Amino acid sequence: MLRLESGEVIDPITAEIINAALVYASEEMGLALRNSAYSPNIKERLDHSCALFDRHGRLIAQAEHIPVHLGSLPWGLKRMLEIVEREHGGVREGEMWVANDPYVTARISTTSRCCARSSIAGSWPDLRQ
Amino acid sequence: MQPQTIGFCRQYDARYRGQSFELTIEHGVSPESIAQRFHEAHRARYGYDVPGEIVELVNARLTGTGSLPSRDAVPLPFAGPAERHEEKRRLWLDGAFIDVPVLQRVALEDDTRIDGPAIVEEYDCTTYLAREWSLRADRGCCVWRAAK
Repeated sequence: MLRLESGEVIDPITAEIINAALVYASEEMGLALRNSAYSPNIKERLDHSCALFDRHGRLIAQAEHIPVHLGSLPWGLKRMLEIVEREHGGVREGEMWVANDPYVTARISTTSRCCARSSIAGSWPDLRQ
Repeated sequence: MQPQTIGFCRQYDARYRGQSFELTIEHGVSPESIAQRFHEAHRARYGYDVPGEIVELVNARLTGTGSLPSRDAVPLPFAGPAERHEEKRRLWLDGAFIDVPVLQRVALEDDTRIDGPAIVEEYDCTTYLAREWSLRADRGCCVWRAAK
């Protein structure tokens, strides 16, 4: 059994299974994005990265995509959420927010559902609707 | 092959114009119904569809299948008791050595039942039968394992 700093005790096998499932969910996000993309930068060059965060914007799982995206994604999302919180009162369920201001964050889109949010760093030409 | 056992399946690999990956959908009676099937398949796979977007058909597939009558498995010759040469081998189990019977698979008579622990050997593989398992051999020389 693992004892967390909070004193909570968790089963390490259950924790590892949930961890692997969340990492694979972010891998699947990348597959779905690639297979449905219009931009050659995504569908051919695979220039995109996916990750899952909790409701506070804390990183839960990242897929093994582009290192430079993965390093900046948690910080970029944190900055973006601060601005959305200040100017819009926070991200509401079902909303998607997209940013490309390099002083805030590199090209990130984020959607929020229930208690988690999924985020993608990728190229702009795919946003056509 | 009998004509009534032959069947055909018509499918298309389709995508929205501009995409590079296709989804395989079943044939429909009209272009509109094929496009509708694609929208539904896209929604099911990716969580959204784009009504009004142009749907491209990349491949048209026709697959013919015919079923053949099934054949009975050929029973393997029973080697008989001459091949039996039963022996025991020491095995480290649950913290102690115990003597475990070693059986030759070709010498197992039809409907033989054996309780584990045991080892069943043949020329290309070895079956280990744990303590909580039992096996039944049949005439096809198959060994069926089941929990006791």
